[in-house]
Amino acid sequence: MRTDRIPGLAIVKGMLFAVRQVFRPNLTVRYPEELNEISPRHRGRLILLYDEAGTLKCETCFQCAQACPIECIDMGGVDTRNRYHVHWGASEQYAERREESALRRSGRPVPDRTFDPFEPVDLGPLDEILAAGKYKPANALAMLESAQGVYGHLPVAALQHMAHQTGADYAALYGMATSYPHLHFEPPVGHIVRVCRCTQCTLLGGGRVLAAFREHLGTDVGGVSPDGAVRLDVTACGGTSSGSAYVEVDGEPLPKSSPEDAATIAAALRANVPQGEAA
Amino acid sequence: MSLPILDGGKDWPQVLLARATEGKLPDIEAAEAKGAWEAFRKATGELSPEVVLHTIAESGLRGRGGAGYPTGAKWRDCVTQPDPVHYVVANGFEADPGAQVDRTLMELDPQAVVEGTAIAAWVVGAEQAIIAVSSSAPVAAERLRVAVEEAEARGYVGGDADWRSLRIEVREVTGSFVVGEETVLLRALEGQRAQPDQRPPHPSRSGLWGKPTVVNNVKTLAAVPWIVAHGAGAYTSLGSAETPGTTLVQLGGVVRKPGVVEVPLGTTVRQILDGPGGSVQGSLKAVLVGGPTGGFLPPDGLDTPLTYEDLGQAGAVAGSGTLLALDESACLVEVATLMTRYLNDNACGKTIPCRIGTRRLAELGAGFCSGHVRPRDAELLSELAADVHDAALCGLEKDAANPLLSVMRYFAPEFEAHSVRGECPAGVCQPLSLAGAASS
Amino acid sequence: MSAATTPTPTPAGVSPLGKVVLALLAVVLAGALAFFLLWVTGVGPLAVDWIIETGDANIEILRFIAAATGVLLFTVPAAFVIIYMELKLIAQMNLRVGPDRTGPWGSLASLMAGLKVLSKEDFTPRGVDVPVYTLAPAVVFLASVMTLLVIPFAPGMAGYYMELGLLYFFAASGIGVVGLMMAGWSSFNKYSLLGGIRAAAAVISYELPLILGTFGVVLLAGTLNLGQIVENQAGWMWNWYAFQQPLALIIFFIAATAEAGRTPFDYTEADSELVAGFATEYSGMRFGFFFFAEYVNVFILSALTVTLFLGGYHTGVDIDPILGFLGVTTPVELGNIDPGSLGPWLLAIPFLVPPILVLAVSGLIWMVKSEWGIIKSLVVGFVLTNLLVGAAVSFWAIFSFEALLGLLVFFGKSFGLVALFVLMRATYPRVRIDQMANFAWKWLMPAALLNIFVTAGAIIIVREYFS
Repeated sequence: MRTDRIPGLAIVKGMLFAVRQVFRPNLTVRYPEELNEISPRHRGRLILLYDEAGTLKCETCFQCAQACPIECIDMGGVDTRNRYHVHWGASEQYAERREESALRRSGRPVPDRTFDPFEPVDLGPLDEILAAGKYKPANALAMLESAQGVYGHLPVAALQHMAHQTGADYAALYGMATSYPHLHFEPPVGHIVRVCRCTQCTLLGGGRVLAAFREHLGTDVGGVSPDGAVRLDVTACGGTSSGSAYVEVDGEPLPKSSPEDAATIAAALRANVPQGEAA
Repeated sequence: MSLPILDGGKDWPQVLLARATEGKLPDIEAAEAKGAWEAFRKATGELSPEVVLHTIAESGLRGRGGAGYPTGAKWRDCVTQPDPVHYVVANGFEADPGAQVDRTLMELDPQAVVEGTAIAAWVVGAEQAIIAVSSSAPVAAERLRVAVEEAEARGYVGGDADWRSLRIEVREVTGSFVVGEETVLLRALEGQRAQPDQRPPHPSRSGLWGKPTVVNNVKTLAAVPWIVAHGAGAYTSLGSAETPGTTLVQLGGVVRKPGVVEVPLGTTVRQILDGPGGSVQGSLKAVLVGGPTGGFLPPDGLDTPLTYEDLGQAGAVAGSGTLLALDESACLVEVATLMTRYLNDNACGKTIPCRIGTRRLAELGAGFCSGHVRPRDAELLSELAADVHDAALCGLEKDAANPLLSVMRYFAPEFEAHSVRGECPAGVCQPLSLAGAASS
Repeated sequence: MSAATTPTPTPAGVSPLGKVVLALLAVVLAGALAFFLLWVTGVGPLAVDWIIETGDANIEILRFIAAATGVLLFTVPAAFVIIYMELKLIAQMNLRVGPDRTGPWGSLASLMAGLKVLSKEDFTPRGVDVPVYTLAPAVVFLASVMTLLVIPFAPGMAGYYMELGLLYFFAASGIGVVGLMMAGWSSFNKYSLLGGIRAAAAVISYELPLILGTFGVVLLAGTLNLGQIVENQAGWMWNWYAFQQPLALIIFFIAATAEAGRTPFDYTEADSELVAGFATEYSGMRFGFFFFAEYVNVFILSALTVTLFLGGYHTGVDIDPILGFLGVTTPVELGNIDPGSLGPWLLAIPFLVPPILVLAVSGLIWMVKSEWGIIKSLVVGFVLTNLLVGAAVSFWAIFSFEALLGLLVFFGKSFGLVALFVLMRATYPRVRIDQMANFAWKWLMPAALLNIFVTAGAIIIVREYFS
């Protein structure tokens, strides 16, 4: 029926429509008894974020709690030796969220709900190393070097464990390890090619040799080739190179290095079954 | 592989390498027979720390690590700090991969280094000293340890030493180029991230573990016993009037006789190359003074005396003490670019002008090498280099642009050959034959 | 963790419930003591006699007082129910749930809203006209409440049977306009004044169609007595005036929507336009008065519509012929049992019958539902027995007491119309004030006048030619 011909019909139709809505199921999700289905990658979850190494990005800096105008953010925790309790926020109104960064200092293990990005390793040797270093973050460099000696590299699980036990931030340990080129995060590879980059070797064409190795190994200095077979690293010749740049392959200096040889050497290393591959 | 010790001739005095003997290392008795630990006994027995400090200050000894800061002033600054705990750190890290000057000294005369460290510790009142050695110099580290043990056996150093407790620890440090910087070395010794700190406060006020620390190069400390034994006046008579004393220089490149030689400061580069170096094979194109952070000197700049100020004015640095002679077969632009790229790869990343600036400098240099040059790139390079220099937190950044700047300053035609004519005079690079047209 | 987990000891003392019980106990004891004293000293009986005597002498006044009190007390629960119904119904129409947490199914939500309003700070802004400011809510509230006096809720249950009931109704509700203007003017706020003027303009514009719409009914009924008008609609549904005055019903209902300030004519609630209109400067219970007054207004206008047009408390079904057919008389009698003759068995009934009934029902359930235990069957049986007995008593009550049925029917119809108001609120947007005024003066009033003329003409014609 045309609502503009019959006066008042539109009004009645409107009301009938509203009445019909009463009998439709309502869409309310009765939180917290019912929960909305959210996908795992939903961007609106009120959770703390993890980075790709599996560590929590929250550093308990309290900035968010300080900035929140309605003071609904709470953080708390104790340090590793239960000496003091750090707290911010009104916990009686909202359940206190003990996030991992604070829990880490309390020594309690924290379940990783979102994902497990790193494989577990046997932490027994690491515990011995930590005990020898007296769990002090000041000895972190020595402990990391010892850990690399045991595991061949620095697994994420080991760094996490060290962070838990010493109370240092994972980010601090990780960052410190990245500033030392002899600490590696990838498992050791079968072959290592070391090129010297001193002025003498550069004069003798070391730059071109290095560029050739970069190209044929597919990685820059400090990295591993994409097939995981060869690592490209640096060494120091002390200015004693003569004739050609100083290059070591698996610890043995090459008698002569040239960009043309780099291709053949790279191919040979990749084809070789690497001896002593890491566990 | 070690380099031979070159003979500088009888005009050049031997201070640092006085007792250096190649071959089997003599033990402490033999060293003492040649005068080792005599200065230490004299200082601790007859003199007072203040007197020794005065002597060092009078001698005009300057830091041989490359910066040339007066050693006496550094020690005095540390002594006058109210904090009772002091440290002494001997920097034998030698970051330059192409230098083994400090390593040579430590291998050939470790007693001098240990004695110098002990005297420094006695003067500033430190009870703990660390001699930092790179882990790529295991022989030097071992010899130093043996020397320390022998000294302890003698009672010079150690927990229950005759005069005061002093523990000297030889620590092997593994790290990249930047660990040679004094504050970075301190952070590495503390086990922290290898990044420099803002100075002031200098390590003599707040260094290792926040305590006043004297950080000196091993060459500086090795000179201290000689100065104490022979007096300040004897030292000032060596070298030049403004910069007395001697230093160790390593010759490399196309010299006939590569090696390490002890030169008095003030000697010109030409004298060093022609004297102990036995002059150059072929025709000399340039001399790179100071290692990766150094500058190129043209042949007519070789009369620059080897002093901190003169080298600085010439656009080079004393740096690691290396002189690298280059002949016509070397493309200076390529070498400078590779040096800059090396510095960028070793940058710690703390300051953004260094982290990105050195990368851009290397890219500009690579652009010159390959001929991909925009019209204002040279100007841009100068400005960028000035910015990187001004924002420097450490020596790497401060001198990062030296190679490129010195090449631009003295060898501008070589730049033009690459960018305008598409030629590489040395035949190394393959630049495009575009006349400086702006390509991508 | 450290010693943060030792249980804190409960404080020695009385729990809140205990305090309430203790207080009640004290009151009961004191009352019992006083009662005993009065009884013993002989003062008690004397006082009681005097009260009864005076009461009988002034029964009318007493009755009036009781009616007025009942009416006042009635408004508050009514408003609560209406508010709750509005919240829930609109929520259902919006596919929402509405109040859900306070009380079962949110039934205490309106009560909590009232308590919240009561707990707010009660202030008087500076610069207001204090007596006017203070009295305005009272005027608006009373204007609405006073009209409840004449509405017949059930046969024999009107507050006061007035011959001029309808006139009194409109007179009393007209005072509300005065209250609105008082509120707007005294607030010392331009926007309140504007809101007050707008609200007053709206109400006044629609009073004419409202009143004129009822003239048709009055002409037909021949009286202004509301009780009489309802009685005229007794019997079957087609007796209702709605079928004799359809146009009047529509006019009246639309005018009533505007009178009550409901959407689509809700100027007093136009939050986005004038904050709270004339009530901007009011807070706490003063605002609560306006709020309540509006919902009471809604109720009384629906009640009036029901009374005038929809048969009041009559069911619309003439039940007597049917009951006569079935042989049941009203009031339903339980035989000729005289309670007094039962003697001591009178005591037995309240003590024996309920348990026996409960046990019987529970036993039945227990036998039928084999998986339930005894306790569960007992509990369910208890509840079920209560429901059954309650239903039986209600059935008897409804058919025995006309008033009860009438009351239920009246409330059902009134709240049905209130639901219609709520439905309109959920459906329609607000009209503009000029559109509203247009509609009132150019459409409703002429329509109402037309209705009166046609009704009057029809009456004359019918009277002349058909009787």
